[in-house]
Amino acid sequence: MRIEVHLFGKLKELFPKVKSGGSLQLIIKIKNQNTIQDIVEKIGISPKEIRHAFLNYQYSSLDRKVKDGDRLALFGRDMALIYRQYFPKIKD
Amino acid sequence: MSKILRVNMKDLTCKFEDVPEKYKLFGGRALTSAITCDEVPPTCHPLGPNNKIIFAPGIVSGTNAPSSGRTSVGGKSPLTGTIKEANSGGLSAQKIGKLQIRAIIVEGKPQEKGKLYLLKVNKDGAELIPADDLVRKGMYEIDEILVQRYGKVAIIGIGPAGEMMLTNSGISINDMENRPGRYAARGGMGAVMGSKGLKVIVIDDEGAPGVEIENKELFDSGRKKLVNALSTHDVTKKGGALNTYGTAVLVNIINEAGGLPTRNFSSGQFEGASKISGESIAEICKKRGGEGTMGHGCHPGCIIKCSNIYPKEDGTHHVSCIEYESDWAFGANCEIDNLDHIAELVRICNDVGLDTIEAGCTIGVAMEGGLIEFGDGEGAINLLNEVGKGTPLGRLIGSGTEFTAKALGVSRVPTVKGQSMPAYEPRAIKGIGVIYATSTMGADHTSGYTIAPEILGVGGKQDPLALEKAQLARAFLNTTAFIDSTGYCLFIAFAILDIAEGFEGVIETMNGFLGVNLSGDDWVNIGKETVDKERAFNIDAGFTSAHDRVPEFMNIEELPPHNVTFEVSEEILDSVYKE
Repeated sequence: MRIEVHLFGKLKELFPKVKSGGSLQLIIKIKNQNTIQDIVEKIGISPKEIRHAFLNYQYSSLDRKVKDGDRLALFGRDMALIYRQYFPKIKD
Repeated sequence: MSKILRVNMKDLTCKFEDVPEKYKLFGGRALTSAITCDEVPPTCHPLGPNNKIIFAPGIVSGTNAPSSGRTSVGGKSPLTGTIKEANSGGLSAQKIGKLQIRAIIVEGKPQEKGKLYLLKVNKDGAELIPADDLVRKGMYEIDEILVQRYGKVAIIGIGPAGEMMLTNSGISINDMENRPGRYAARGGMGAVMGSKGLKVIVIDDEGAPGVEIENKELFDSGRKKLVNALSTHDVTKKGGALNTYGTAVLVNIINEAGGLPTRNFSSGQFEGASKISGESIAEICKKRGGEGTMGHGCHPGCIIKCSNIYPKEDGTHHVSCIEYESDWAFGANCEIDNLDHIAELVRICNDVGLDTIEAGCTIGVAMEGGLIEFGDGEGAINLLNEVGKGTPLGRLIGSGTEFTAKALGVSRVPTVKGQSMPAYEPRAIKGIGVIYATSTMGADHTSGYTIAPEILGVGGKQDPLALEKAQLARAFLNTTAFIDSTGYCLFIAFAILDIAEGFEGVIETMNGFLGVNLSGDDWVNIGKETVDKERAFNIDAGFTSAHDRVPEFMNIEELPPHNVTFEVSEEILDSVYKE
């Protein structure tokens, strides 16, 4: 499976050479069924550092399963800025 | 002893009155709305002699409570025809508070047409001075002239747009660098100030008596709790989201959610979002250096500091500030991905005296109507520059989105009750659509927190309790009206909603200041009464539930990338105000 991951804000500093106002795009290849949390851990980020995750532009809970071709966007503590009431958090 | 200052522009008199007992617990929005309801006929013409404009600091403004320097401006709006309260940071709230003035009510119209005045308020009283030398001047020049003349004063003023009484005229308040940029922007209250012949108010608090806190111990306890909450919450703490990237941190987040209105609300995602993001603003500030900075405070005593000073290439000041709504309005909404162009557009608004949200949406419909192309930053700058010149084209653009759309035959008009929508797309973020539709102010993101679609039962999954739960929207409207009355910045909400001690702190500062013992519920109930009064004013002005709607195109055009319409039923919208 191929997952397109976009990191925003200070999460990008895991890869210090890259600098831009947008996201840092990573392509993650995995074999088995995985959740967003598994992907986060695979990149080397502690799940508790994630404040907002969007799977295919949907505000998602970290236990949501990903599938081939999905797009995942991750925002860390430094970018925590939406009221909890804005979106329903989609779970599996 | 606190007073109300009443300024009559017809006979050019200023007099101080006692604060009526019924206003004892009111500050900010609660006070401006109460006075508007008590003294302004709902059917009056907003620019006629019977409308009034009221300036009121929040209850704790002038104390050392954190982030408490908001000034409310109220009256009847020429943009919406509804009641209006617009509030702003800047220097004025604390200085008015220290002069022990609870509100400044400006009424009547000068007998000499076109005559402009300056209202000077200090410890010795208030006086009106002819302001012929300031006619048609922009706010940057006015702030410079008046600070040279009067020293470290607060300056509340209108640019050429307000003098021309254009319906998208805001009211500028100077910031800590004595520049314009803090605006009671929404709803065209600058035009009301212009209609009164009042160009500027100068507030000088030198030698002022200062605030009187009834129960200092309780107040201090509350202040410490609130400081602690704001200093520890991820959103509001130093190095947190607002402080690091400014409110434009939302550009990438809302774009990722498919809720960033793009090309006049025809898409929920903007290809150029990363170029105009808060991260990009922060990078440019760092790279260009000089005056460029993030973490800039909009008023003394703010500990959140979400503002910025955006620099030119050589590091000198270009504008303060590029915040989320302005960034989006001229950026994604006009398909402009160049921050220097956006900075210039915001600077023009600050100078001429315009609301950036309304101006950006106006340019969006002008682009849709074919006046200029989407993405044409230079063209947008030229178009907006027409406003200050007072040309017929400039007067069109300065009259706002709905007016411009009518003139150009555009039917995709993102307004509610005549006021442009801010930077959250109701089709993607349905809860905010409910707030836009039902707010007493027209489309306004600061009227209330929003509720998730699953609570509303949209998208086919009708919750049997949806109607009851929709009334939660009402609770959010009430809480916001309460915060708007305290003097605190609305951004304290992030911390006080999550940290119970922070909310307690706010209540203790309010009770301590006034020497009362009200519960949190009592205070929020005052917010409810404020919203009730505002709604009654609107009903008497001719508004019905048919006005509590999002524009039709949102119910029939699907918004990419989620390809959804608004979907929230009229029944649910109408249930928000049902008791």
